Amino acid sequence: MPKLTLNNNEVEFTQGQTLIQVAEDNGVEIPRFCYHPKLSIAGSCRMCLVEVERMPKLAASCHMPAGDGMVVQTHSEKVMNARKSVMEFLLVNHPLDCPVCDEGGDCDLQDMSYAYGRPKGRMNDEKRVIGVKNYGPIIQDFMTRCIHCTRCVRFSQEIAGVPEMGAIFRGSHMEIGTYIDSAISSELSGNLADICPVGALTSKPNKYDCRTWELKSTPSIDVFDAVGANITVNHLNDKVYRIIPRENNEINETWIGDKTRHAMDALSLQRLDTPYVRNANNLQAVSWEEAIKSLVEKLNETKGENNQVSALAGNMVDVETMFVAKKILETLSSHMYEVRTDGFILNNKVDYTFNTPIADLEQTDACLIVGTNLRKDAPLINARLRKTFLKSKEELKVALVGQAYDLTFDHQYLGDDVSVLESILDGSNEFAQILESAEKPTIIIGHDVLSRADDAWEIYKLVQAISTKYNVVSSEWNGFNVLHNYASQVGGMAIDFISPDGIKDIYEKSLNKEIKVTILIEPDNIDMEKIKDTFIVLIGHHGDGEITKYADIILPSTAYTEKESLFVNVEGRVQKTSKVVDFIKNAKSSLDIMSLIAKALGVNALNIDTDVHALLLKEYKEFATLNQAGIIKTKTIKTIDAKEFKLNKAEKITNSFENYYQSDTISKLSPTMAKCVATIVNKGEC
Amino acid sequence: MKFLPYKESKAHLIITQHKDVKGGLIVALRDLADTFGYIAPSLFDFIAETFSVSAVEVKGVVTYYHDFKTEKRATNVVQVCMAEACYARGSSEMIEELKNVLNIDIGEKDIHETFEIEPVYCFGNCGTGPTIRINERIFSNINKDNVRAILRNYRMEEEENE
Repeated sequence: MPKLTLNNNEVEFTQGQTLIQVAEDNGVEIPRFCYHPKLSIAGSCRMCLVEVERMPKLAASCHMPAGDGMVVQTHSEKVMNARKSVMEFLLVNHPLDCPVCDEGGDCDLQDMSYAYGRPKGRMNDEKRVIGVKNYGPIIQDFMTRCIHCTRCVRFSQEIAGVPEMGAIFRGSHMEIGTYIDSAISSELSGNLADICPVGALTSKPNKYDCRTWELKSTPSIDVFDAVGANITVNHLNDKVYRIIPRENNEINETWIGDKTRHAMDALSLQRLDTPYVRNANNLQAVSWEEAIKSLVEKLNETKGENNQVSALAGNMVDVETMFVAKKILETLSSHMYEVRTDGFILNNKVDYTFNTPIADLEQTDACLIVGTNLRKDAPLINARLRKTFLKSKEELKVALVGQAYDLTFDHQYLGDDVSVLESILDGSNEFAQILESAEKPTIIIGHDVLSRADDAWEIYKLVQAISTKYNVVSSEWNGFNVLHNYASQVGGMAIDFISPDGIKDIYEKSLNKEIKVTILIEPDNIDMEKIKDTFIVLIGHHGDGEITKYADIILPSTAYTEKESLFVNVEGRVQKTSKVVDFIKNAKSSLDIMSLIAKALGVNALNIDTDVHALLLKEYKEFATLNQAGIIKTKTIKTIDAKEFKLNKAEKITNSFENYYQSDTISKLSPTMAKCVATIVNKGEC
Repeated sequence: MKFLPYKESKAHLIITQHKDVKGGLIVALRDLADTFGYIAPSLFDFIAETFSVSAVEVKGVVTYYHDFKTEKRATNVVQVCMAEACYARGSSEMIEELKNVLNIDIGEKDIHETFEIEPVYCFGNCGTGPTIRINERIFSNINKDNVRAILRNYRMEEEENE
């Protein structure tokens, strides 16, 4: 391994690293503004200058490749003087408005100014001022504070793939701006506030509402989509103020989507906080004991006959709750529990997870996307594919079957006809050759196409057949991926929270009044018309007019920031959320509610004192391994005979045209998401 | 095909001419500026598409160079050198004089869009300042008397053309 001398210590490094990376690996902090580990190198701020022996001038360490035998001083007198001068230049045009700046306390420029700057500026001339621009509902701009590091320009070009930001004008008149004043049409735009080292781009929904040093941080997991991005929740006095990404290179790197970041403002709105029981057409607030008592009475009525109770789980239900709900229903001899409430057709006997770990997508050389809008369903996976595309010097071949949309990188659009898939299978499509010759091909089949009422199975079989024919799955590489949209789904399927005949059967039985009681656990995609004749028990955290209209018992539960529970992401990675803030008033976590019901019903082996988690692990050992991809996957792969499709040829592969910003109860109630829909979606930009 | 007005279709022709040239963006912009005197912002999207860059990048390049204007210019642009040598020989007074004669301010156009005054820096003609340049033509040793004569010439040319 090559070695260099860093501040009189000899350190090792790997070839290709730059000096700033070597220093970071060895715990030496070099100040920087424009350098960001996930973005390309600009070398424009000059803050990271270091002294390299036998070099005539100071070198920018972000740009300078480490060489064998280099002697580097990062904090010598010469360097410190240079940094002092750089700081002075950066502050020439920077306003002294830290007390009213949202970035205050979280600001790189402030920190560096304390550490390296002069106590007093010598600038006597007027500072330049830039007028207010408009970057949409997520980003607030104060471009007067900008120090032109161009991190945001590089982010929008490289990561988000919407090159809408750029530098205009020149010299001291230089501004960072968009082409025309318009909202940034990316679902990753919230990250701009994170990467901005000064207060030029800050978060608009959080404008003037908190100071970062007052907030407490708790690591947690995002549940708005199935990717399970790692987040840090910042909170104070039982209120969640903001959500920022937590670095995890296996999933989200340092980015999160806008929904993850800002839909949380609905966590304090329209919350259910007291149990209610319907009494002569009116919902009446009651105590927990009464509510549970009337529920158990109702459940006991169904005892003796099979399949009279159904339990439907929504998008954000944790594994433990579903596990206990399943136990309860089994005691009542019912198998009508279902997590695939949107009509998803796969079961856990076939390949149903995203088999390629997200980080490994960077190795793929051909990708076929079937029936999913990746930007809407999993923006972080789309960002990863874009990264792969750029890393491969635009060699990665991507083909899209389904509705056309802008993937943010070059791809081949094959059309939305089912026959396209057949032509890939029989080799007549030109993309077939690309799949054939690819070393690590991937197929991503979307949730939307697998939730169709009609030909979903046939399309799945067809894609399976393509996967088999072109060796997408081999001993070293598994490129067959099913993309889920909802955080609860993979976990629910893994613990068999699925009924034999799916949601359609449950709806039918509810219409026929075979099912008497429906327990809705934090429901999202329920067709209330189908189940309104049953006795409806709603366990939920947010009030939804449509559901509460029909609910007979309402039990308030807690949202994802208020409970510690397990979720499984799309790769089959088990992750745990944290209890960040306390429950709202009288609410209980859905697991506690389920345990109360179980205790009152006298479910075997389950009462309030039992450690549900231990019980879960006893039955499903794989849940013991946390934070590792591919833990949850199908145990018995049933090979599907490829020859038996009965396809309706005229059928089109469509994506449901839901927008990215509003996909579940919480985000539908979020004011910020509503603003995003008004400014971005309704303009047809996303 | 969409029908384009003459000017726009000519502009599109100029832009596409340089499509395959390496670094063609800047050449196309210069060509546009030479032909029309300015680069209309309405063309940015087409330029961006032609050269596979983003529209904001085109805007960045256009705004970077002072000589690329985004607004229609007057027929005769009177550029007055304000660099040290000419300044020492009274170019600031010349600007005041021009303002009086043409009855316009810096950055304005007169009512017929015939004249426009623009202060610039150094034509390399420092020995014989003050210097002004009107439409690529340099005039040295300008003073209050000859400037009126020069402008009168341009005004007459204008009238003849009409």
